[in-house]
Amino acid sequence: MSPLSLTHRDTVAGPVLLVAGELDFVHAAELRRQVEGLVLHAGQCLVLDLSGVEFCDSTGITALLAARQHALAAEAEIVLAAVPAHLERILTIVGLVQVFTLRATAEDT
Amino acid sequence: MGCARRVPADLNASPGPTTGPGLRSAPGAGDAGAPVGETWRHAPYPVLVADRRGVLTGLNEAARQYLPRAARGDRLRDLAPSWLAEAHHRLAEARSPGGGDVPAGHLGDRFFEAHPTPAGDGRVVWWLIDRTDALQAETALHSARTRSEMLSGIASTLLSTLNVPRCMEVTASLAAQHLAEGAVLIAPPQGRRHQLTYAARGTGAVQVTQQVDTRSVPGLAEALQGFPPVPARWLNPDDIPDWLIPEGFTGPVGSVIVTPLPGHGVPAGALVLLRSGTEKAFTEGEEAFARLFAARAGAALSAARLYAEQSAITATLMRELLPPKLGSVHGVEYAGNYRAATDQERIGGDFYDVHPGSDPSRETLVVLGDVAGKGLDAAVLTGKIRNTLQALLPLADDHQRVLSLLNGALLSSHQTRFATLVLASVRRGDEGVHLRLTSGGHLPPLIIRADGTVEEAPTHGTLVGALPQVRARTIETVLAPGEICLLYTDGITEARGGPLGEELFGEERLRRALAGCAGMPAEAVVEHVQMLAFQWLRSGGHDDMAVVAIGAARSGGPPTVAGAKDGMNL
Repeated sequence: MSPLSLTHRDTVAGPVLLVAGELDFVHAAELRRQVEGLVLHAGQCLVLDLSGVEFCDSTGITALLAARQHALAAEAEIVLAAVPAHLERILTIVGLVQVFTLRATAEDT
Repeated sequence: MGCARRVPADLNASPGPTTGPGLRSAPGAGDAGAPVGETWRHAPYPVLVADRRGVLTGLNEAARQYLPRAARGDRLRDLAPSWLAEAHHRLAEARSPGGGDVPAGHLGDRFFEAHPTPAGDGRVVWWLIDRTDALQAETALHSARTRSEMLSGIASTLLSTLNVPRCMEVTASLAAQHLAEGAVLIAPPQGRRHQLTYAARGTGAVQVTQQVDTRSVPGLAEALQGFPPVPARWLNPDDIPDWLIPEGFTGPVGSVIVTPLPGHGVPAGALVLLRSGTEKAFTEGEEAFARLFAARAGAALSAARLYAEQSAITATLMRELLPPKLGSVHGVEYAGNYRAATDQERIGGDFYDVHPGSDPSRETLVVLGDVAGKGLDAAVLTGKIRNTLQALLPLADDHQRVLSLLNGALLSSHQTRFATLVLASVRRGDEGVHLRLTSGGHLPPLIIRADGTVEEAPTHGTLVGALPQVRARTIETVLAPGEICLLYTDGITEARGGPLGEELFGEERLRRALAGCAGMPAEAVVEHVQMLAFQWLRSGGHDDMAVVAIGAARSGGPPTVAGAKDGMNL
């Protein structure tokens, strides 16, 4: 299994987190920890670039929901960018495509 | 009385100018040609001098204390103990001091070693060294060693079982074997009755549960409450009630020890040791040993009791959390199978239930779901969801309402731990099995048609327990005889393995496999799916896996109301 790798950069609009690897039982907690450590200001937008996600299970979804919770608590927005097809299918099944804002790329166009 | 002992090295090394080897450096020693001097008369140890024929030619004052009637000219054989006479005879024959075995034996009530010094004229001076105290120390050491070996043997025997009755049997038997002729273990009362374990030496342990008056034995009631042990004492045999005498115990009771079995904070019971009048009474050392034994036995018993309690609690909780057995209800076949993520745990985050309709005209509600996470935490939440859904059964006509109410109930207690589930309302009609299906964020059910096509039920909705609002879409369909609707959790499709070891089993592979299951009964489909997923896994770990199949049986229409009174035929 490829482990999870998280790359963080800041833009004018807010932090962008590049998530690559596996969001599974073993690794999802890492994403959760990292996201909850991000400082978000009201009006900012947290972008999770999921283009590199190879696998996501229910604990991965939990981490995404926790990220959303974290953003909402700071009155910030959250965007899932470059969601791979398999992950989009999962998000559809669990009914989260309507809940999250999905965008084709991490860059705000 | 005599014996030849090999003197232990540590005893030879004991201090004292005239003990053991020290003798050989005494004047005259080692020089067989020297005459017998007179200094030995003043030696502080008994000294005897005898000639080659064994005739006493002299003895000092110290020797006279032990052999008051001895006189010069007496034969050693007549006056001295046989062990000394024989040692002298052997020495005279061999004309050498002999091997390493120092002659030793009793003289009066003392124990001596005899060290010879041969003189030039064939006479031998026997120096008698008092070893009584050393012998006692050695005996005490030996018995201490024996006891500590016994105790460690006892401890390992006791700890080898976590079964409470067995542990009590072992305790009583060991006590009757090593400590007394009879032993009775009195367990703390359960209600007003005590479990009693009897053992007599040479017989097996016997257990009975009965009401007894513990106050009828002096010290027993206190011991059961964990008070400090009552010292061993002589008891009037009349004071011992009949119920305390193990079967097979012979003779009147001579002495008794009552000792508590200390547990972890609470007493684990009391042990009564009995000896008959013909056997020695308990010594202080034996009583101390009995307490040590009781401490070990008490620790083992409480460990066993704690284990029994905890496994009973676990079993009770597990029973509540385990998935039900499924069968045929109101003319519809149900089959289910569940595998928890770890083999050690039989419960996990997946669950399913079948709530039979009150009669065949009413819908049966089937629920299959998955709580995010694994293990006991997840299992506890499945329990909550299953209970909540059971309470919501009267509202099952409206799946979306059920999901909304469930969502509200879960939101209040768990923040991000969510669940996904499928609701299926099932009713057997004339033309087949009517289904209403609603997914709450769960994998959509798959329907295996009679011609082998596999359809995905186009229901979708939001997972429950994480968001303030949930939405869901309910779809309706009909299963013709022989068709199957399969509900499953992602443990199946996310089984990782295959020829390359890292590939997911996946929905596509599942569908293809199901296409080959057309016409199979529900139970066979469930087994087939589980088997495929497991073969795919190879050796890797896996998530919880649950599968439920709903099948329209090929034969038989809706059963009569009377036949379905019990709801489910297992």
